[in-house]
Amino acid sequence: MISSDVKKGQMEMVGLVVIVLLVTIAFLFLAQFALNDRSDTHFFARKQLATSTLSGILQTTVKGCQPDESQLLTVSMLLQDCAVNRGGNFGYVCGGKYSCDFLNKDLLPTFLEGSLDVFKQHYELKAVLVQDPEQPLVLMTSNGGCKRQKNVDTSGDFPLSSGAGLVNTVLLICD
Amino acid sequence: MKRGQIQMTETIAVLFIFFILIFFGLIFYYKYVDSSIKANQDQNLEKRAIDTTTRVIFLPEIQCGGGSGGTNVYCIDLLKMEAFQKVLPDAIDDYYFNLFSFAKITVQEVYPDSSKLWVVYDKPKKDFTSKKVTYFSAALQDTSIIAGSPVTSFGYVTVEVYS
Repeated sequence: MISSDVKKGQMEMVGLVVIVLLVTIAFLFLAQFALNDRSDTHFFARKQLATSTLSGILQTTVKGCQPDESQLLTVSMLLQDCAVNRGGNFGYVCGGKYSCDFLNKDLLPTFLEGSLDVFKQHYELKAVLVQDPEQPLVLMTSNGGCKRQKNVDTSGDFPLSSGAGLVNTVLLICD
Repeated sequence: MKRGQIQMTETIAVLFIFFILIFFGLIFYYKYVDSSIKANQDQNLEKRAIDTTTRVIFLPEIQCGGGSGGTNVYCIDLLKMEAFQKVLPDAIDDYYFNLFSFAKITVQEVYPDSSKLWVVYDKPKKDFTSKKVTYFSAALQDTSIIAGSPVTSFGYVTVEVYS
């Protein structure tokens, strides 16, 4: 009688072990599925979008700025002027604003709202004088910028030399 | 109930639970395989979108010349593009379909005139199952100005690929 009970107990233990094994395998499978490498596949699109947007913006020409309204000025030239005359009392005047104001309030918002906002991308555009990075010449962000975002890609540095020093412009794009 | 009957019922119950576990396992495996196939298809479409976008970025038919025989990336020459639009219908099946396959490529100006839109390539797939859209921005250079420097607008290119 005792021997039969022991046998039955052993059988039940084996059954329990089998069930535990099955459940463990199922959990391992589930974990593999859940923690599957969902690597960021959009990095190429973000990277080339950041580079192309900043490259396109800097090449764009603006007409109708004083003192010579017939002169075509590129955004790069306006940035250089903004760096040199950041006090805002000299330099080019476009649409009644000095270059820094014109870039920050009129021109760059038009570019970014017409492109990156249409694509529903978060971004952060920053132009700084290298020797004074704390006070950016241009700072445009959407929904708080890219500081807390995980997937961030950069256009890379677009340096410009100006009378006031080197101006570095970077566009970050994030999801 | 006799002891044999009890043991039989117990065995049947164990087998029932065992088969239920197997059944759930199979359902789970089927869902896993199904989602893997879909993820694979998405990945392939994304790869094709990237390939097509890269081809558009470096398409010499519309790319700006960078002086000294070089080229300017992320810049579209509007004169070249308009000429390209004229010759495209004759070469679309023989040549450009091999490059872009089923896709639609448009160029939208943002500044100064946001109403300007050019359809560069349009070969839609009638009953497509999925579509992937990628964008890149570009400088749109108008080289038709003979004297002085060219006027450069800002815009973006939309590349839609179908599968």
